[in-house]
Amino acid sequence: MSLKCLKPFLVVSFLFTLIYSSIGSAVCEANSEAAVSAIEEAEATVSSAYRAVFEAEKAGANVLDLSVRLNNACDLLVRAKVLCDAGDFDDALRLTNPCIDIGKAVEGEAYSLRDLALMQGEWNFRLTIVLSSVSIGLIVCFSCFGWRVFKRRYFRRILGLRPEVVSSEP
Amino acid sequence: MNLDDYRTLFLTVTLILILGASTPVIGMFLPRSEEPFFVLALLGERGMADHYYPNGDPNIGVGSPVRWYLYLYNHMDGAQYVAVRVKVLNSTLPAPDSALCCPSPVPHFFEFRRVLVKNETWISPFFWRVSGATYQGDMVAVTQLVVNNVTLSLDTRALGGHNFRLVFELWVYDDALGVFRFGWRSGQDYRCAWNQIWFNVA
Repeated sequence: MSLKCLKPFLVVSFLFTLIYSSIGSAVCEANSEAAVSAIEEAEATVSSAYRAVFEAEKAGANVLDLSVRLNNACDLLVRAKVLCDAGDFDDALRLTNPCIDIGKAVEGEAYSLRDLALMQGEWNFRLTIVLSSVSIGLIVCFSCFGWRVFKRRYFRRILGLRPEVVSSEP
Repeated sequence: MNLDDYRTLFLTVTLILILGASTPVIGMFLPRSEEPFFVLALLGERGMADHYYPNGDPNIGVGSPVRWYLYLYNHMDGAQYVAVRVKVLNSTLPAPDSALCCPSPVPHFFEFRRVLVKNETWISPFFWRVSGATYQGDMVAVTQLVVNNVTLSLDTRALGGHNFRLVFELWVYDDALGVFRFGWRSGQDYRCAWNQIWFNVA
């Protein structure tokens, strides 16, 4: 085969390789950008979910279950970051999706729990104030009543005493 | 006892009962002053502060598995989002500064993330082995570590393979800044926690 025949084939091969490699690198770059932005979104979601859990716990809610789920999201996020650093963008991207889903679900539930805990806390606070006030009022009433009854009995007992005559003779 | 003595007794008992009845309300308004803190520790293969090296030998061969446990305790005033960042240093690379609460400038190669609720203790395995090392003259470079079945690349060198160290830094999420910071605020002070274990690569 002469060089003349090979020339078009070589040109086509070169062009094909060039196009293929540029498409390949563009796809790789796009994947990398998508993975990095997905990881950033996952980071932000987990942080927001943590803030919600913190507020719910402050309000007095039991957040143990939420923290367990949020920690699953944290694990996925860390694994996604490791994969992204290693250049495995597809798998990194695959892990960020459930991480974001868990984070959003936890955030929503945490705010609901916080509102519920705040209402419960306010109710408990009012109940405690009312019960304490009623108890104090009852203690004061019973004390006053008891004192009056005791005083009356005391005077009755004192007035009912008869002087005892004792002989003063030696 | 005369009437005045009885009156005093009645008043005292009444006051004690009133105080008892108002204790729940007083308790709600009393400030709680506890020092907030974290505990970060590394435990050996038996979950205690010993047996850190396989067969007690700090010269760790390539492929030789090492089993440690990371211990974290949250005694802050609420749930905390924390990261434990793991770095490999040699004897000359700067370690974290406890006085200034400044982390080591070396980038971390592995990280744990965890949301710890108030008073939660978390123990996590940290099983690792050196899976890649290169020898150039007297210099030994650790190029690959496997931590909890995750293969990680790095490049830390030490003369003769001596005095490598794994440094564990506790970073706490700062909600106001929206970033992790090395250490935490404790009243007026700023505190930090880190830990390191030395080893040689044989």
